[in-house]
Amino acid sequence: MEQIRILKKREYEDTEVKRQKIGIRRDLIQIADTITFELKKNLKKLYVMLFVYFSLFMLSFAMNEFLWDLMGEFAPTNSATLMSNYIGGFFTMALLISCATFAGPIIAEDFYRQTGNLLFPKITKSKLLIGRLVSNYILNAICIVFFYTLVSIIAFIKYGEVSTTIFNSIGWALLYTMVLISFVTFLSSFMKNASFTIITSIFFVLIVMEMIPFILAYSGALKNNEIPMFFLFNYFGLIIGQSLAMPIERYGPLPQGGFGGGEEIKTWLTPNELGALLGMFIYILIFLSFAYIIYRRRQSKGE
Amino acid sequence: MKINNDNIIISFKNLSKKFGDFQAVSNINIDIKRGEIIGFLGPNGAGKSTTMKMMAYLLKPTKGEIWIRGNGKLEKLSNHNKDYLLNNIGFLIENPAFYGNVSPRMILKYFAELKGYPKKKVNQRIEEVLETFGMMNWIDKKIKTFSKGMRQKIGIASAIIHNPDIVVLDEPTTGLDPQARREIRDFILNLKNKGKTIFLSSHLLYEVSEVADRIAIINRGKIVAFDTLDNLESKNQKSIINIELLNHPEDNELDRILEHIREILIPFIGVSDDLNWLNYNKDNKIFQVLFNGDPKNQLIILKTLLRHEYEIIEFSVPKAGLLENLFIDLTSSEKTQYLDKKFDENQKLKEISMEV
Repeated sequence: MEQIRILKKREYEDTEVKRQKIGIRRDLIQIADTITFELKKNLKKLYVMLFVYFSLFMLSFAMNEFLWDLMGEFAPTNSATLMSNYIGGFFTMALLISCATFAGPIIAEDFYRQTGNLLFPKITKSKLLIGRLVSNYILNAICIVFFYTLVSIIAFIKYGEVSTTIFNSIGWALLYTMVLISFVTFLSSFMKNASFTIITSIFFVLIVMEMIPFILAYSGALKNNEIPMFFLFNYFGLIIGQSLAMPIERYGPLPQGGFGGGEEIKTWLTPNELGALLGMFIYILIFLSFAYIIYRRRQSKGE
Repeated sequence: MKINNDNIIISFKNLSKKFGDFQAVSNINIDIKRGEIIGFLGPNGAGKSTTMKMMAYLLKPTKGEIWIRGNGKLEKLSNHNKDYLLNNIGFLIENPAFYGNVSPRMILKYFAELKGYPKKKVNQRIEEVLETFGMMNWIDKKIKTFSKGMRQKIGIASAIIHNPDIVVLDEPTTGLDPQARREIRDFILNLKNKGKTIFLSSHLLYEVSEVADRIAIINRGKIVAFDTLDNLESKNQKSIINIELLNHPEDNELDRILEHIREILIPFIGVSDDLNWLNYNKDNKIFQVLFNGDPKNQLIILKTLLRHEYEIIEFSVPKAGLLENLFIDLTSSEKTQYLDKKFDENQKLKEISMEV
């Protein structure tokens, strides 16, 4: 009887597989696995977002081509200003949509759909969050590179050259993407579900934050927006388009200012490089710190 | 504080959880031994999933401790050591929600690798596990196309994919058809044969009674019984006999037959006549007799029925029936109130007596 027991035990041990020990190496592997998994999981979303970027590029293309004559002094004169027309307009909106779409579920989904019940005993929240942030960033970076490639092609076709300032711009776009992802992650950490997070983040950045300079100006609080809008993180996004044709006047009339025949309102059109760099890093740090603290404290529902 | 018992692999010590004013789990004390299957029974909302989530460190206990054996010694589960202590446990926590647009291969590969399973052997392991569940044809299909039962199987597969020594399954058979339930039951027994320790929660009594070595019954967050099924039954002193007759009674004669059986068996059932001790299930054509569980009475009941020329083709005492009776008895409100009182009187009691 004892012999049988020993044999059974040996048979079981034969099928035993040695797993990777817990430690830094396992932690790094877990992060890498999460990145790979999230990239595969979001592949379909990526295709959709690439289509959105392409559509917005085509829209910009149509506007640039057909409204050329109406642009007057704003009509592009070289590859840098042409790219500025493409990147300054719909691009930032596309960037916001893609960041919200990819990062919206980043935390909220674990609790709303209870997918966290499968994940958390297997991986810690910090490693999961790092992996997801990196994968989200990669997905958005792919979209950005795709859009800039399209813009470069059109600039090259039209002017036979691509301004090297495109590298400045893409750098700022990649950094600003991290700000947006951090903001959406922060919202996702306490929002009920991914859809709410996506809608709220788009609404907040596209409507609320765009309205604040106008409100401040028209209310008389800051009549000519004398102070740079560093308290609004979307202000730093302006450098993406403006950096294509630097040096540029940083303080000027609001693009929509003075409509209805009113008095012209001035505002800050772009931050300087150092200010943008510092500002964006500070926002990333703040949003991600809060997101992580809330995520750590957030617990799965009871019965 | 050190707990000395080499055979204990998990130990709950006064485990409690409060959500606001609601006491979800109250002073749970359970020791789980290596290689056994513990059935964790309780009605919906009794605190089963909360307990399991505390074990998985998804919820932090308000009070009390969980001790898990790691590297040969029992250690208190904390934020500091949870990765290491939970490394050898596979969890399936209630209603596993999967990402719909991934395949079982993809998600199981991810989970196995998270738990440090060697990358070279992951695919082989996934195929082995899915083969066990008869799901090899679905290995690369999107999970969103799966039925609830299939998702549940993937949930169980995700709990064991890294070949852990301890498996915690929360309602693993919920939503499954009878065939799938049987497969899961066989699978659980197979895990036990491989030396795994299993902590299985369910509100389905039959599922638990078929596989569990010991059963903990939880009601309103408190353990109201914790023992082997045989001991629980003997303490409860009630059992059910299923009886099927060769000729199933017609509707018009059913009342007469029931009245007659009641008349001839009442001296031998050994339980209060106030209880609804005789029933007839029209769906499966089975008479159910509640009696005191004494084998002598069981024999007399059989003899009495035969003497009155009832043509019996089935006469059995199903385990689940006994457990069901016990479960209802223990979780009824009057009993619970009594137990609550008893519990407050002596919180150090590890297993509350059934003799209440």
